[in-house]
Amino acid sequence: MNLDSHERGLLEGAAGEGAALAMRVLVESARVLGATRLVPIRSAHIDGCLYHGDSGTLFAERLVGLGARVAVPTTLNVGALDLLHGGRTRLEPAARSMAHRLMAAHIAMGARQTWTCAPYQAGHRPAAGEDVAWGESNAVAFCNSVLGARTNRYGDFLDICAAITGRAPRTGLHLPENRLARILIDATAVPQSFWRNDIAFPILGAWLGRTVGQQVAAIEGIGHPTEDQLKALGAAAASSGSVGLFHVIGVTPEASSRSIAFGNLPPERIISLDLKALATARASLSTANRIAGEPIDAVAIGSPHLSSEELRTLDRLLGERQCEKPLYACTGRHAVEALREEGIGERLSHRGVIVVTDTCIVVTPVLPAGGGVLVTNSGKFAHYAPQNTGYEVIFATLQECIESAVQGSLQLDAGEWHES
Amino acid sequence: MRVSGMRVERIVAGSPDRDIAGAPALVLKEPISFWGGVSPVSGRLTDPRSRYHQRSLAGVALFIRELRGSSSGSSVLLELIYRRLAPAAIILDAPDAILALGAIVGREMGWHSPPILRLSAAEQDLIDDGVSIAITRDGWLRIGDIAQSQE
Repeated sequence: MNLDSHERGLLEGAAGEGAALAMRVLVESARVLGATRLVPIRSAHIDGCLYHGDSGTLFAERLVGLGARVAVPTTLNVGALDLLHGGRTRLEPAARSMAHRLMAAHIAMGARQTWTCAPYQAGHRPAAGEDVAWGESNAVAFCNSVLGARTNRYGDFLDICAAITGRAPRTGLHLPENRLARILIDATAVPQSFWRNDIAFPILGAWLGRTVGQQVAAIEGIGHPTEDQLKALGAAAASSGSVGLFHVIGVTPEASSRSIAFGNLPPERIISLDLKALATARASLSTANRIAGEPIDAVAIGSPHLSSEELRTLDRLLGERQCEKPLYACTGRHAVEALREEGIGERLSHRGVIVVTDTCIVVTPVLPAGGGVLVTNSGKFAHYAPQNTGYEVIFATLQECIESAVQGSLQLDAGEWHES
Repeated sequence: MRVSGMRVERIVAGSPDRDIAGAPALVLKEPISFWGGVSPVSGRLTDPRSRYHQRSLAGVALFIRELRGSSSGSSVLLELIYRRLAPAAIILDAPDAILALGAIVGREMGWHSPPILRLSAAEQDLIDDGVSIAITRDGWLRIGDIAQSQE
């Protein structure tokens, strides 16, 4: 490992024992990754503040006890508690206490209390080409693909160690050559009308993750998706595969043209996408067999966390109606704060929407105990809910989610997607 | 008679660094995500859609062809280590920093941590689920039952 004098100093304890411990973990991980040097980073986003068990809390408190502080601007991903809405999660008292201690340890190290999986919606937006160290798979996919900043998928522990040392292993997606597309996804055979469907992008993401895994793909022929649509695409792709970077030709910053996306090389593989493959991907996102009109137990949206704009859309589509079944809307405190003057959070709460901030329904027990059937428009919720919550899942559009919550039973739009 | 074995490459050393004997093989033929796929409380596989549903990872030689999913896998492995529910060894087709991190931090915390090793998917195909596995510190993997039958 080629370390510069600053890095060697950290390892030898020049900035304290906490930074030395972080540097040991970082250097050992860099070795595993095959990196021979480190790269300075400009910011970090930490996923390790989510409680998975007492061990993570003990490690974070070890760092705090040894005097560790973050060396770069650092945001925090969700924790296991909704700090703004006490009692939202059903964690046992012992776990609640440890989850809180873990969140407190990260604050003690100097990180910003953003508590969101969408830090890019909370003002943390590194510039294209900057090296950063981000954790949480959707945030990583967004950071690389939509912002054009450079990060690998930093797992728990490595993320905080990078923030403390201001360094990351110089490998993977930090290197320009690894950011070039290898696979071309030709979506021109899919009717353009499909991309106006709000669940088109999580379906595309679920398909992309399963099809390309960790390889970098460039997608052509899906029009000009919005930032929220790209967010949904990346989140689904990162949970079904391990996609850390994708390009959309003509849309994302490193793919202004096909030749730029591929570095003037021909694609190694061209995959034609059609409606049949998308229909299969869509079917894979539902685990429950229910037909329209059958009962459901809950609805959840907001993985990744809803943007302010998505909360406004929810407010508009729900109108003055009351939810018969709970509709969980997961979002960041920044989005709630931004809408405070519009009174949207309060209006939603009065109509039976349960606004969840700082956390989300698949990482901590929020849904009523006992399981049941959950309707969601999130590819990521659909992926993780069966394992993590005990709820079966029906994947549906936002409109269908809202109508199902209002009626208390599954409501499906008429359309090509339900006839196949 | 000398029994042939397979060379495994060491990604992260175990802590303490020692020989492993008699660990039952759990050979996963499908991709796995530690976060969401493994309970940090019970050490069991949790995906009801998987054919390995409810299999325990504690003390097994865990062969993984493909890892996927969340970067929180390190935390799940660390928790298994802390609760003494971790596999005896984890054998991957390719180095993986996410699982390695769990083992590296386990070692820093002074807990018993499994070695993370590398064996190609093609060689993993030669290992049947459930057989007894021995792995030496210097990187030899042997199938225990064969060793016994040849003695």
